[in-house]
Amino acid sequence: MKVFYLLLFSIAGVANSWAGDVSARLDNKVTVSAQYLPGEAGKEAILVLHGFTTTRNFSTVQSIVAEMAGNGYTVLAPTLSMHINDRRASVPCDAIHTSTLEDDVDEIAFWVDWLVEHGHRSITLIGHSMGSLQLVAYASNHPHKSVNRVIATSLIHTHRYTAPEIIEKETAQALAAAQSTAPSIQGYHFIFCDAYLAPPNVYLSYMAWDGPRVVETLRKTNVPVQIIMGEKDRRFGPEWIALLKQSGSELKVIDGASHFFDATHEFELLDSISESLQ
Amino acid sequence: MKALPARHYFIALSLVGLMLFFLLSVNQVLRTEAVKVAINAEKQAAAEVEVTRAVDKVLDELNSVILELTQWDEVHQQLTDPTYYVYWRETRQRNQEYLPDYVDSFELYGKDSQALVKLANHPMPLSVPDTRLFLQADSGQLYAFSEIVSRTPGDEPVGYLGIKINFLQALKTLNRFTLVQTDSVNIERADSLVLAGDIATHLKYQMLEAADSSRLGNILLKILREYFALFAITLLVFYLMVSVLLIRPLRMLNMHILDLQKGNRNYSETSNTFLPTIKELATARRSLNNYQRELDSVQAELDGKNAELWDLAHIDALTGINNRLAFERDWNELLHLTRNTRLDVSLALFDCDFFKAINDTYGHEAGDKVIQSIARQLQGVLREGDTLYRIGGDEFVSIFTNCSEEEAEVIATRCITAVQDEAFEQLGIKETLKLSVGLAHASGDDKANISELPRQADVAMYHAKGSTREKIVHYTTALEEDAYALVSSHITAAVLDAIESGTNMSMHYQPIVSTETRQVSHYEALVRINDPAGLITAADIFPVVTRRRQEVELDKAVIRSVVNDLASGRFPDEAGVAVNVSAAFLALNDFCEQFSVFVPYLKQHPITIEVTETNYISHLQHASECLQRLRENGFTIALDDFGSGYSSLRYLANMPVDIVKFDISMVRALKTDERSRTMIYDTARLIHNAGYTLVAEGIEDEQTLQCVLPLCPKYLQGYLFGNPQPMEALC
Repeated sequence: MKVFYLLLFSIAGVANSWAGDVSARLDNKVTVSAQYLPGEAGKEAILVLHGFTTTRNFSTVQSIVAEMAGNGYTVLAPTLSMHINDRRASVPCDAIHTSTLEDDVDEIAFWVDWLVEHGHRSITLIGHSMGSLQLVAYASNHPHKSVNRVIATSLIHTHRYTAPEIIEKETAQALAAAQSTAPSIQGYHFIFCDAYLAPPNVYLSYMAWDGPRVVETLRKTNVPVQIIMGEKDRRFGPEWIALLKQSGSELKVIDGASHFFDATHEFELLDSISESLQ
Repeated sequence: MKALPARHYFIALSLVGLMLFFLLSVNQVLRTEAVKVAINAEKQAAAEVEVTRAVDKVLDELNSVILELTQWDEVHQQLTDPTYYVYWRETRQRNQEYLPDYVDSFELYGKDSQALVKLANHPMPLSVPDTRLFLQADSGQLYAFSEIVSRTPGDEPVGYLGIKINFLQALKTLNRFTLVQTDSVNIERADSLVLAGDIATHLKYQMLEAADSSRLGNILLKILREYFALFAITLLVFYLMVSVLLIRPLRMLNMHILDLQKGNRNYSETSNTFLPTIKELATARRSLNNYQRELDSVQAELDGKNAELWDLAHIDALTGINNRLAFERDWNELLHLTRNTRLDVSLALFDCDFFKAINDTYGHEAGDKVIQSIARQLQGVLREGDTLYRIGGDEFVSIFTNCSEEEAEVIATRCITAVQDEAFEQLGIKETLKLSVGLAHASGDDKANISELPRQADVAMYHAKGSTREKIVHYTTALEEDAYALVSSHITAAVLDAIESGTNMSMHYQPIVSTETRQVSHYEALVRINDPAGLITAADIFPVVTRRRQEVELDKAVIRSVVNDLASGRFPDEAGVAVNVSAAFLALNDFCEQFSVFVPYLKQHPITIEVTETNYISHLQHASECLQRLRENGFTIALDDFGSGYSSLRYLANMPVDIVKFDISMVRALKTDERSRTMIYDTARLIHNAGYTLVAEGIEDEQTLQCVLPLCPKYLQGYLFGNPQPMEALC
């Protein structure tokens, strides 16, 4: 069993890491953790980020982690804390969500820096779903220079195509609530949640990333973004993939695959990722 | 033991069975009650264990919930940033997806053990209490508090979790009771706060065993009722079987037996019923019929035999007329009849004179024919309807009813005449046979005397027998005196006692003197019996002895007495003794040996044995032989009372006698007429010529002596020469 003691940022204390796992305490007193699988020397490191409310243990993520580690890459798969100390499970919709997208990006930056700190100068970021969006957001805003690529699988935006009037209404309400000195928790229709409990600012931080913004961001970002989508992924409407094609990013659509690339499409996803890495 | 009907035994058996069933039932109920008590005790213990385990399970589940909550990301989120803690707690408490139903509330506490948020009407303690697990009895709520361990190893606890559950709800939700009534489980209110380890003991509940026990009891009662019904049905069936197959056939068999006893001879093999029959009883009935048939056959045979025996018993085999038994039967019937009926009754007693001599002289065959002839003659002259009975060898009796004394005498005379006229010569008998008849009469007014008639007729007949002329004697009271000896029980007892014991026997000796010297030659021993009422003489002794057939015993007693007198040494020297013997004694086979006791005294006192002519004739052959032997042994034989009966010179010629003693009647006859005197003289001469010594007895006076002397007797005997005297007087 190998134990790691990490000193992170100015507020970082001593962190323990079990074999394959690393953790660290952020300055907000929240401990974060990641699965760390050292790869072959000379090969780039890959950071794999999970989707909305899940953890690194999500099946699609773990498939990618295993494939990449198997290919000799150093893999780091963190679990975003969502302001939960040493979060270990998915956060239900009706839990109180206090972490903004910016907070998520900060934690991504933390882990990228962690990789850099550990000597990795070539880093590829692979995300799934909301993780892809968060990595795109990170890549668009002063990413570390060691980050040379983003592979965004099942990339999403935050506006559901169903019931747009509700989204519009709730967004308006959130905007109004955000003006309050003591903004209260409210339930929102968000992603797949019908009662996403969060303060308005948290909600709005995500709602700022609608489809056009994502495409625009892709166009502007300096880090190459490769997009892998499932052909049957209709979660954000049939126009989404078409819209992504307009982003200028490399887009690969796997026929018949869903949002989670389940069944045999998982291999196609992994093959596509591997091709992208080459 | 008294016999009872079969039904009674069956009822007794049934009662015993019912009693046993009742006792067994009571025993089973008691045992069941004991089992129920034991089961309840076991169930009580098991229920306590069940409740304890249920409480433990609640606590275990509570620990699991607490553990889950303390590891819940959201809890750690709230401890890290409790900004939205109140909202979060409210939403999470309401959401059953995260907490079990029985959880009423929970609370997060910071490191300082204070609630993250303190509100009014706070459902949970505002701070973590010292007791981390307890039950509030009043509300029934279980409080549990637990540290929330930091997810960073080595760090202090990040806070505390408090949870409050509805204990009874949790208990009943998490457990399925099998021994305890779930709804009955409740908390005793004795203590307001109960520690975790004491919760089980503070619960009250009701067990399910009451229902089980009741059901067990009901099952037992049901089983007992079923058994009782089965027992009753079995008993009924058994009774019907016994009644039909056993009691009824037995009753019918019994009736059949009663019918047979009553003489209803129904030998049917079946009881004529459609009901089933037991083979063994049918066999018994058939056997009974067969047995009854055999009994009937045997009975018929026995009746025949009885009739034959009756005839034999009541009919005289020789004559074919009724015998003594028949007479006694008829006489008793007559006595019974005369109790209520006026009836003149005469009783005639017939006796054939000297029949013994006839019998012995001409033989038994001739004697039997004489008896048969007499019976025929008597029957021929009796009135029609009169019955003749043979009650002895030559004794007959007849009862004359509705008959006066005169008529009775006429009938008796007819009888005597008929016998006298009978031609006995055809039987070779030359002598004329005579009957002696004793008559006794009782008129219808004299019923008391009817029962005395046999005795009276006997007395009368005794007198007729003793008379040569008066052969029909009517009983009179005058005869009673003569018959005193016969009827006096006192004299009879004295005579019999003297004969048997020898006491009071006193020999008197009458001298017999020599005609030539007038000196006593010898004495005739005459028996007397000493009695306080006076000396009993031969006149009273012999009737008793004769009627009681005690002749032999008397003769033996006489011989003993004479021997005693001779042995006393006081008997006159050189004097002889003459001893009389009866015909019965003469008939003894050891007659000669009876006189051996005299042998030692023969030289000093010659012994003469006197036998009467009649006695001698009764046993002619035997007497001749015996007397001859005695003569050869030195005894002298004298023929006594010669001339008083059927004196036959033919007999005398063959008699081994030495002396002939003329009876007193012959001596008296010397005084009557010349013819008689001549015959007596001639007889005496014949006797002398035959070589016999003649003795004349009955010489009472000088005149008689003068009449006797021409007979030339060698010895004389009579009062003229001396009365009989005891031996002491002889000296």
